[in-house]
Amino acid sequence: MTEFVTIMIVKMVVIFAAVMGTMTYITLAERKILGYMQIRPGPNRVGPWGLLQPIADGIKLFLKEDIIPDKASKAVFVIAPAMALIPAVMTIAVVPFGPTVTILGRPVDIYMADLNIGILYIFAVSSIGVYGIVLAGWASESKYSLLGGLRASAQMISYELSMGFAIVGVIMMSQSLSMVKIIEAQQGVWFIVPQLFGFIIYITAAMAELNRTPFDLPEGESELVAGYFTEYSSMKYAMFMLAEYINIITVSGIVTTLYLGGWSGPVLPPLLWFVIKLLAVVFFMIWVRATVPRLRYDQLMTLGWKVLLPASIVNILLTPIIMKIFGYL
Amino acid sequence: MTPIHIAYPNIFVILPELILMCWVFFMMMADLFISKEKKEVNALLAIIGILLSAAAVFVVMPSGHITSFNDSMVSDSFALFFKLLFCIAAVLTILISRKYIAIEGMNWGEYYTLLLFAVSGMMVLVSATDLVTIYLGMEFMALTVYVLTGYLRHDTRSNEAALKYFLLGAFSSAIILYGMVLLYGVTGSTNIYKVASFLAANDNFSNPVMIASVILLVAGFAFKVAAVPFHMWAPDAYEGAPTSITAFMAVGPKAASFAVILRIFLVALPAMKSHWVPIFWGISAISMLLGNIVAVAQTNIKRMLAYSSIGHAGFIFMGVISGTKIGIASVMLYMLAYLFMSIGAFAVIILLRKTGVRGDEIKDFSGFARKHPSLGLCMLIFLVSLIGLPPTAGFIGKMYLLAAAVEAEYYYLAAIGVLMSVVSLFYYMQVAKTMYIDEEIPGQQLVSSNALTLVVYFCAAATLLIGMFPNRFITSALASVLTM
Amino acid sequence: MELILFYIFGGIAIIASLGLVTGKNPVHSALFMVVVFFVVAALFVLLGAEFLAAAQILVYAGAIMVLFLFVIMLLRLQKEELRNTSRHAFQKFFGIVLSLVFAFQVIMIFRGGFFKGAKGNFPPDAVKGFGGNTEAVAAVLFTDYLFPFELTSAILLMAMVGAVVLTKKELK
Repeated sequence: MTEFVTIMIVKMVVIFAAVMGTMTYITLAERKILGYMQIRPGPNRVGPWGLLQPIADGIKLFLKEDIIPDKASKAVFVIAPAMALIPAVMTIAVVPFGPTVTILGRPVDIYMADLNIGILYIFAVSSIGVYGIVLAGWASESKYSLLGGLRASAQMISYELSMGFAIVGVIMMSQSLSMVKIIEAQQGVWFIVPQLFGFIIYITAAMAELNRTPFDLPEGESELVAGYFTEYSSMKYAMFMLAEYINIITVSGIVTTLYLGGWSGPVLPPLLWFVIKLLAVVFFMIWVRATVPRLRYDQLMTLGWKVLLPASIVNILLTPIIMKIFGYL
Repeated sequence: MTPIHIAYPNIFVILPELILMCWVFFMMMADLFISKEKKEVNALLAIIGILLSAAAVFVVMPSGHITSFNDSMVSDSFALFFKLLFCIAAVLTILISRKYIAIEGMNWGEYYTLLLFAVSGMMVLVSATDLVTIYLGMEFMALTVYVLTGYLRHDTRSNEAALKYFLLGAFSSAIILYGMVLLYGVTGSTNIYKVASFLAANDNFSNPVMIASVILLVAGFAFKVAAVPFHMWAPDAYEGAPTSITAFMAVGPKAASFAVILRIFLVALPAMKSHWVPIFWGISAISMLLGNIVAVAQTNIKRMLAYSSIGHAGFIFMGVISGTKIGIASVMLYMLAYLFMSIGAFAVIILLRKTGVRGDEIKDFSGFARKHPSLGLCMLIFLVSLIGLPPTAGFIGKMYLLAAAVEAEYYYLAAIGVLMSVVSLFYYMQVAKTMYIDEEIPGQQLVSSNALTLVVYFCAAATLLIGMFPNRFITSALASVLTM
Repeated sequence: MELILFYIFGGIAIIASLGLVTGKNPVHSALFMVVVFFVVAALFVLLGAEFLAAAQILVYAGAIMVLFLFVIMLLRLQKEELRNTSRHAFQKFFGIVLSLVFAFQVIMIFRGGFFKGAKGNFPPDAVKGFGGNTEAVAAVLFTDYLFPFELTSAILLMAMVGAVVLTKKELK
């Protein structure tokens, strides 16, 4: 029992630290990559190649004055960033970074838990994340925030459906909701091949869920200042940023798990494979951000309801045929 | 991972509702291709769908008592009787709606779609023998009727009616659900036959959970049939709803609710009879008293009919309480009679609806019968039948209900029933007096619709027919009594 | 252990429901409702019904309550407009009396030995036989409850048609 608890606590600390570390450097990577894609150097003042930039950002955010608007609904205003951050952190628990390995003579899984409903758990918890955004928008008592919050909730609900339907294909092929079993089912061929259609739907919807460009209408700066977190400052603002980037990692982790074979790969150790794939997905998202302009609101809704949703249902209908072709049935 | 074997279910059992639902989907598609001027084609399509469904009822009929879907649906003569009744009600409603909804400016295909959905929901409800299917059927029926009640989107009365009906209806559904949950908790099954056999084998008579469950179920279902003290929504809903929908509402959902009351209480809960009978007794008595007495004070005829329908609901409860074969048959017979007289009366009200004139006040009937003697006579027949005087269907229905009550020795209840029929004489005859004696309203014109007048004549004929030659109907009702 | 957790979650559920009905601000009430859903999901997990727990959060907390909040925010209800307490004195009195009666009933039920009913059909062993709770739900849903399952989709379709009919600005 004590051994179990110790292992869990160590794992918790290590995974959390790793994710936080990766996350901070993803912010830098994003700015750098965007910079190079736009033929400019990006941040390069703090440390060599700007490597200390995230730390400088962190210190800056810590030291800023924490402003709570006068009219704001205080309790909700304070809770909202936490409600955005907590689900983001919770989802990491089931992301399988690597298989069971032996450390100091004990078998240790490189993931917190392998729930038998893993993928559903991720969906359930991440669907809670929208509360942080909606409540932040509502509690700020500011028109930009409110509009941002409303847009976010409408958008997230619209895209959650297609996202859920898109992974049904994967679940059908792997016959399980457990993340580990899904990876094990991809020993032969990664699901991105038979489920290419589902992959495209999933990653589009996932980017909309993350409020990433081109779906960043809830925080579209040209019209809404900063959307739902307009009124936030200091650490509360930082918490929204944290939540957003942790979510990017989680989503990349899910994409890796569901479609890219998870930790499986030749020569290199599994954990490294997972990280490589995860970072590739992150890079892809940054790439999209640099490439695609923001959608108009009606285009967003049309894409969600009239394109992705029917497409995801068609994907479900196609999956049995695909399974037959690939010999799963 | 053990593969699940999904057996192919016997869909023959649900053939009528299945046909109807498929037809609704077809109609929704077809509606897209029907131009705005030709929306009346939808009415025709709807009638065809219902006739197909009715034909299916006759196809299923010879098979007798068959069940399917793990005993959650049954097709017996009791269910089929009600299904046919709904088909008749729906066809009549569609016929009286066609002109009316055009006048109200709401001539969209969805009207018929929703109506047919409601009918299929009611069909599911009367066939359901599992608490889950019963609940779903009830919600199916109720949700469509809420929408139809609010169908006059720009009329605040209609909006108010729909909102009230919806809020209270949702509340009562929750109460029923609570009752069902407790029932499941005690018996471990949602199937009403299994519930019955469990209760027969294990004495749960004084189990407080069971008592709570019975009370909740009674309260919820009493709401659905608008019995006092759960009637508050009815007058507003009846008044605000489009008149054609009021006609439908007064007959269809009410009949379906009574069918399911009979099924639940007589099939699943006969062991608890001495608990629910006194409650129903009280509800029945107070419904008859309050419904009929308050109706006297109404000036709006739709409200008056609403209160009278509360009284009628109280009357019908007599058959439920008696719980005998004759009691069940009399409930069925009464629903049949009520179908014709009620829809007929509402059809006459619709005749008075013109653009700019609502025509649902009692004084709008002034001199109606002198100007339109034959239609006036029809209205008189409906009124007489609603009172329950010979030679009409209402008389036969009430007589059998009273007979059932007397047979089961509920003398006081029967006495209240007779007494309140006398009270109802007063306000129904008020309308007759207005029609025959009061001065004509100058320039009053009727809606010219052949379908509408046809319905009025047909209903009058049917009311008289059942009243004068009741044997055929009584035997068929007795033959299709719920088998327990 | 399980019992302690049950009492903790049950207690949170009760407190949150009280907050839900007594809260003056609809947004706060909605948030309390989310808490209730969460706690109920936790109770499902305690009962070994993980699938139901996830579905509960996904559907109720994640979708339905977000829509509720959405509507509340759109309506911009202000606290002052919400309660006109003096007008409902009579109803309040009635409500209190009836809830006391109800509380009395519930107490009576507890005293009367509570549940002497039948065991459900799906104790943990039976669920294991299916290979897990997700599989068990699927097995029951697609065989015994196939018809209600399909019927629900028809109801949802109908509700959708109804909602569109009632709210669309211009009907053709």
